[in-house]
Amino acid sequence: MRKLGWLLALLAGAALAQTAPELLQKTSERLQAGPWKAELVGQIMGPGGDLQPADLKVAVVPEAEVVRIDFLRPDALADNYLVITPDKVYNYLFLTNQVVVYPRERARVEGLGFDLSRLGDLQDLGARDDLIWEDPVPTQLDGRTAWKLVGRAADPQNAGFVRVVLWIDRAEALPLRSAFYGEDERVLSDLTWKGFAFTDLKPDALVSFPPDAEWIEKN
Amino acid sequence: MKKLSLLILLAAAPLAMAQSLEFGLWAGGPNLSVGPTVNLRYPAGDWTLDAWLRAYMPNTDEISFGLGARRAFEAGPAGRGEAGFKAFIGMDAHYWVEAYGSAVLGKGALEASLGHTYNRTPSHFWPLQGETLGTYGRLAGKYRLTRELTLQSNLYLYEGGGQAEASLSWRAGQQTFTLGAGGVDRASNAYAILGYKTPYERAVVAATLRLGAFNDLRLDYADRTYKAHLTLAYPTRAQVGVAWDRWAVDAEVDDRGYEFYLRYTLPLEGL
Repeated sequence: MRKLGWLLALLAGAALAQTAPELLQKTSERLQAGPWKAELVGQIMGPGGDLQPADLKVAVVPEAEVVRIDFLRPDALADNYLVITPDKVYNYLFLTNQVVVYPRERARVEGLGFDLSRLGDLQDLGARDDLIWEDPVPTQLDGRTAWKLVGRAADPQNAGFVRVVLWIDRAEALPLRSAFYGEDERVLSDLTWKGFAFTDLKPDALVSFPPDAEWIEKN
Repeated sequence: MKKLSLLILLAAAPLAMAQSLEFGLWAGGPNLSVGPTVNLRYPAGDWTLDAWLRAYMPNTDEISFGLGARRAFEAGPAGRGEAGFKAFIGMDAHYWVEAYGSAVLGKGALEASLGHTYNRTPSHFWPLQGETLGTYGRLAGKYRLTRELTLQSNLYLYEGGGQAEASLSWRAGQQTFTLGAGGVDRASNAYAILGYKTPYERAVVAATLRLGAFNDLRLDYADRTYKAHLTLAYPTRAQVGVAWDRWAVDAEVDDRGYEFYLRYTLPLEGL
């Protein structure tokens, strides 16, 4: 009887087990449910390749495919912000009060040692065939039950990172922490998601700039 | 007829490449002079090429033509840089050359230009540009001490004189206050700088006052549709300008006469 119990438990476990891409897909669907905002706090590689404290406010309207990232820290980037829309990327520089506009297909969210656009697109991470995912591991993070997902890039040069580690809230299916590593386990970014909330944000509220800013259009 | 078509095609070739074409009409005095202006702009990736033509009547000696190129260096949210040059030549063998560069990276921004002008005519190479005769240089810097405090400085040197300014801007919530000092030609010709900027409903309004050996008051207004500025200075000079959509108009009056400049930018991309 005991053996049968173990067998049933094993079969049930196998049936319930989810792969990392499936978990990422589920989380991505959750993030697509409506407009949301969150604060991402941790460390990010700066322009000089050094690791700096980071505090980013992220707001997303999934239906309109609009993402806005406001930099609170590092100090060197404070008050700059980035708006990504389906066809354009807007980069606002506070010190010179300039908005640099790129066509989406040409823009890379570069200038940091790490491409910020990777943070939001969990579905893409799960669907990429150049990432090899280990089986999700149940764990605890800040008192919450979570899945820990580890993915390795088959071609780090092309992917821009060697390894990615994600912690997903098991109950809410929301990201709790994301960390990207380069060669020699060098941290590219390690950010904890805080204050996640669904909101009634409209795209216009995100795609807004100081009216006196200078516009620089790139083609 | 064939030759004419070829000429038209050759003349239109730069237009086909250009991404925007700005047409302007300038008028100035004391005696009435008029002249159309054309600025052809061709951005190609990080490069931007410009061609300028300023016609002038009745004195055709004052017609000028210019070319410019600049290269941008983009670093995303971390900042950007730009370097370029422009060169104008006029019908009176007068010329103006300028090299310039700017960079903003993290907490600091720097802007520099170096130029030389030879001009015996009373007009400028381009309306509202007010280029300096002889050799000149400009250097401007900004540095964020904290998120609230920004230090700014300007240095302008030209043959026989110069102007220097330093100011500190303090951001309190949505408002910015500026306090500084400057000098013209020598330290005893000092003046004070006071500035204020605030959002007002969906617009931004700003005022900058220089008072002392150099006197002017500049008011700026910008909303999503209009940008306007007004400058009142002593010795007597007044300038007003409004820009909306693809249109812009400026007018200036001082003790030497007046200037009026209307322009329209025609986007050519996709034509």
